[in-house]
Amino acid sequence: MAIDKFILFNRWRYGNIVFDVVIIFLSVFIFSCTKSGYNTKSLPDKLVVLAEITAGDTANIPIGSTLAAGTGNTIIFSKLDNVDAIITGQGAGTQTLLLNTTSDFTSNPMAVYSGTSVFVNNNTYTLSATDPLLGSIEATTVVPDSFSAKKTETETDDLNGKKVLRFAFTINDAAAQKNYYIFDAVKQLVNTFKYFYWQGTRYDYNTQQGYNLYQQVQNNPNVVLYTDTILTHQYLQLNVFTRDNNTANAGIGTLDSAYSRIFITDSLFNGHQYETEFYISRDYFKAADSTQKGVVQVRVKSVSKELYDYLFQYERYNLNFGNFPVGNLSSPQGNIKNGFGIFGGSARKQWSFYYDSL
Amino acid sequence: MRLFILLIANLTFCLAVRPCIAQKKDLLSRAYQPDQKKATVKSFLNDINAKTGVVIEFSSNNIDLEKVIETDNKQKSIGQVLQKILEGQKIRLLEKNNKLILAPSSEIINTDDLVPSYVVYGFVKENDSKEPMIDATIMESGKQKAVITNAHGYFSFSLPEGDHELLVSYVGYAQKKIELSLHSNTRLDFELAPHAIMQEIYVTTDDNLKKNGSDKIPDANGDNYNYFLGENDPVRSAYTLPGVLNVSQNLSSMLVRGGGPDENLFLMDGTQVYNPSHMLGALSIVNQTALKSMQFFKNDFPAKYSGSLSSVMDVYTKDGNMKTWQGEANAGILSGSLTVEGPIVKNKTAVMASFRHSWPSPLWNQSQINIQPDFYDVDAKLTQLINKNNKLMLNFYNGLDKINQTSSNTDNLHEWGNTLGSVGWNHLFGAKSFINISADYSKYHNLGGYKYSLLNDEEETVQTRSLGTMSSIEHYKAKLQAEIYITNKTRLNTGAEYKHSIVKPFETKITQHLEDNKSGFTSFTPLAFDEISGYGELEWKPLSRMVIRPGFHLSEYMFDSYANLSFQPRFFISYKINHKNNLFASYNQMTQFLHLVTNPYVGLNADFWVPSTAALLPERSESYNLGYSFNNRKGLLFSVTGYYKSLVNVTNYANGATLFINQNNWEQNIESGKGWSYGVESILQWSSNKIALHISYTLSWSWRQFADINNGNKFPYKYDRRHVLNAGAVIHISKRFDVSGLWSFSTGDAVSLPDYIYPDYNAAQQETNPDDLLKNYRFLYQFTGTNQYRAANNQRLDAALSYHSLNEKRLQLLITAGVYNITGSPDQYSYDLLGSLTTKNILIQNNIVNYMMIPYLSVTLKF
Repeated sequence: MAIDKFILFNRWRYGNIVFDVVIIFLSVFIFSCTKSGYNTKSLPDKLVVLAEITAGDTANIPIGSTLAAGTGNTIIFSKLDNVDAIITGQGAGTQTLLLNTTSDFTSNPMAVYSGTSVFVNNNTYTLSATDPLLGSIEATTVVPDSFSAKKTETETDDLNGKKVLRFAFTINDAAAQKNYYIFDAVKQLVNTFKYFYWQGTRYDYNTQQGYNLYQQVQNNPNVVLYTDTILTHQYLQLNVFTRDNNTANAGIGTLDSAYSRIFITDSLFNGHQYETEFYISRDYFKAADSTQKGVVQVRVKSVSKELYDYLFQYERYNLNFGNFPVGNLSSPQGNIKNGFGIFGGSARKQWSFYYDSL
Repeated sequence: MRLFILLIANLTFCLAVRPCIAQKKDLLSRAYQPDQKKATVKSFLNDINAKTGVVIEFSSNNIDLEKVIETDNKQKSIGQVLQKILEGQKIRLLEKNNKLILAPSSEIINTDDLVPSYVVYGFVKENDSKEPMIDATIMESGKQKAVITNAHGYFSFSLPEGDHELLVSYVGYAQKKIELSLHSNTRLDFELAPHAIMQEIYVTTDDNLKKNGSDKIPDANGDNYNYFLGENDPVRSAYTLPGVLNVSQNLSSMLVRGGGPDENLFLMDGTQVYNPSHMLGALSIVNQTALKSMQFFKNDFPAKYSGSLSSVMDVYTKDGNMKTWQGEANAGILSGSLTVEGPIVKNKTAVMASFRHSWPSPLWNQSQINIQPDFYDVDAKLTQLINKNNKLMLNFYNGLDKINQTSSNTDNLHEWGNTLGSVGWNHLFGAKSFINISADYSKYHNLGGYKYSLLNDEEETVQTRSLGTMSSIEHYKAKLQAEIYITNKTRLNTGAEYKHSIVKPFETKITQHLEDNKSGFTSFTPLAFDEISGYGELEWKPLSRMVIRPGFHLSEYMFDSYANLSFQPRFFISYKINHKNNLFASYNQMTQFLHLVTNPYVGLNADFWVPSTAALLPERSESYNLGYSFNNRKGLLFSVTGYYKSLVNVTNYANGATLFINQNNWEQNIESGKGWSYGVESILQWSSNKIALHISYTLSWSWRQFADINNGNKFPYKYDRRHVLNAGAVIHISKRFDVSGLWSFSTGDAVSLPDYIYPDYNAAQQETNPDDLLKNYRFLYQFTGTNQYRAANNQRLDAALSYHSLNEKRLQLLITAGVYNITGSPDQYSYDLLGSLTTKNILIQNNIVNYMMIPYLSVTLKF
């Protein structure tokens, strides 16, 4: 030991300390190398849930899976048909969700699992889902308490050259808790069925056979063509606009920006009445063709915090998507444990407007 | 009230360090001249007792009384004789009851304390031009005591009464030697002449004590690494220093020790420049032909600096030649420049003016980013020597850049410019005090536009969106800086300044076409704020081998109703182990009231300066540095420095946000977080008459942490490059020819990329927007982390051959031919994902080659 010290001392004296420093440096260099590379690690696919549960509605829960980004594979979202999914409501028992194979959901990029129990206000629900390959996820949300919203005025208007419907309304905010509100407008599409009876048998006018028969017998006074209009689960999303600077949208776009949804919290009017208005594009109020016929639904929702946050981030993501490189986007963060997406609750007030002859 | 406290604090500090001057020098200054030239110490002491009436008590136990001393009869006081005869004795001198007592001591007496000290002060100037020389060395050769000149060429140091030999030196200039018999405070102005033949001189003084942690730029061979496409840009030398990065994605381009691009204070003749770059950061605004000196701080920050967290670049331009008219013209592939300087009134008034303008070049067609730069700068300076003690300076600078940059699916528009003006007055208060009073104005504006087109699978445009931003910042500042030499071991730097700044943000415009008209932007309410600050700093040499520099900077900041008082302590210590080895350490706290917010989504040029507010608190940093330097005094230098730096309230755009889309909530679009970086930096330089080598290496880590990013977990800073290596060599082939090369290597940046894709939310709700042009592309990219991947390593090799005529000629020619980026390597890598619901999703690696392999030629003529 004494000799080592002596050698070190002599090196120091004669300036060879440089040698020691270089050795230390090289040692640190060797131990500081970092590994890098995109997609060099194999990431397991995960379950995805994109669901909003609403008081008064039954469950229709879209469940799907992720794809790894940048793999060079074609983007095809496969439908998961083997998921065990249940929703447990606080004090409301457990309902098992079943894969919904009706034609209403065939266009959905995810498999939809449905239940029969109706969600109620002011209750907590937990979704659990397990896929044999992708594992299990869990998410909990609250369906908010019912709230009071009143339409005060609607009128057609012109907003910077756009034909719009001005929708003014008042929210009576409950003071007990922090409330999160989302306004939007959709056109709920309808399916129209025509049928008639001939010699006691019902015929479907929409089939070729029924149509041909109707052409032959339509002059018979006992033959009446009946029409059934059925609301579907298909929606046209209508652009909405706001000039309310208290909305969260004011921070992500201009007054002229078209949004899917308008966001506001009760931080400025907690426990008080709040009057506001937003504008709905009238471009699709009257259907250009039979595939776009439907009912315009103007919706004001009180939503859970996680749903509000997710949809607000999603709104911003959509504004930026296509404007900036993908690497610069910021993806919305949801509440699905061990998976991605959102399971959020809402209470809804809805006003229907009929512009199409159905 | 706070301002009052601040001023009182500054004044108190100044008073507290006033010297306690010893009174015993009354006895020592009594006249006495020994009769004998050679005698023992005892004989001399007895002779003093007998002839002067001054009693000196001593004991043979303490002093070697039999030591024989030879005097030269020049001594004329008791102090001067004692200085001679007591040299090397382990005693101390006390005064009691009008007697002098020689008491025992464990240390050898400093005999310089036995005689009065006087101040030697003045200026060092260049012989022909009378240009003040910064960092010239004045050394007393016998006592190995040295001082360097300040930014105005001023020096002051004290020496004991008696005879001295002073050596004045500066790199590239002939050393000057003078004999001085010092009996009172003495002013000496030196003028140095350049060597007749430019030699490779390595300057060392025997006083090898490191006075601060700065890097003087350029070093002896830095000039050879400065060429960017034929433009000699002195700032580029800084990029060869360890811990300093040059990145192509920022307008400000320089990043220091894990700090952001806004954390570097750039001063030009003392005036802050908010964006000191041309050509998107590739070139600095410093025109080599007008440059006098540059100093770069990242290890320690003298107390006079504030307002930036990571580095200070202090640039001074030439005053102008007081004697003759001269000039310098340069032509390269990028631009041409001309500098002229000369006397309006000889030895009284001088002017310097320089102008540079880019010109079109077919070489830009080789650039992948397809740009045509258009820039100019004008620099002018007027210097008036009022008298020997007063000098007046007027500075003006104006520069502008305009660039249109196009690529396959993005267009960028950039326009920015700086205007600076200042007036300064230097005054000498006797032998010990120097002050500089100045007022300056700086304005910067920045207009940026970004157009992004989304192409479908058939390469047809699906959607085009343009986003335009504009902002400006300006300030008015008045400041006073003083240097006071208190004792021969202590110097005080102090000063105060007031600054009024105005940020003018404009709306962010989202349109179909790029907005290139400044009047097309609607101005929001200007954001005005004020800053008053003061500083004090002692430079103290308690030992001949040690210098300690404690100091502070105190700032009071006010914006609307928000006020912030910031105390920033600074400390530097340097210890000379022996004549080759030096240790140094520093501690710094810095505060920055301005935030530069860069929109990560909008091309290169979307920077906003915004002030601190109650919601957006001032940025602060705290850094610790420990270093070692070796200098074998034969041309070999090695230094290694370790550092740890923490940052708080550093800013970042809120995820996906767009600043100034709305006047009222811009603060909400900025997130504050913290950061920290640490690492080890080293430089090895070797220089001889034939060859000069420069190798710098940095090993560093840099982290950030924001509450709303990466789930609140720490993540690597974007420019967290683990290893950075610069290796340069200059070979002097002959007296006229040099060949040089510089190789730069760094490991990759940290990048964010999504790991997953999953279906679109609206699609899952079966809601479709018939107006959505992108419905076939709608899905959600999911990131599992921030900056979780690493870009590829990058490197660049430059080489040049230079011819320079010999210095003695009236017309001097410098021709440099070189190749920039010989291997055509990318400056940086970026990544993007492409895909649609009908095609494959693939990762695209974009190799950003701003400047491919480009040969260049530069011709400089000095006349």
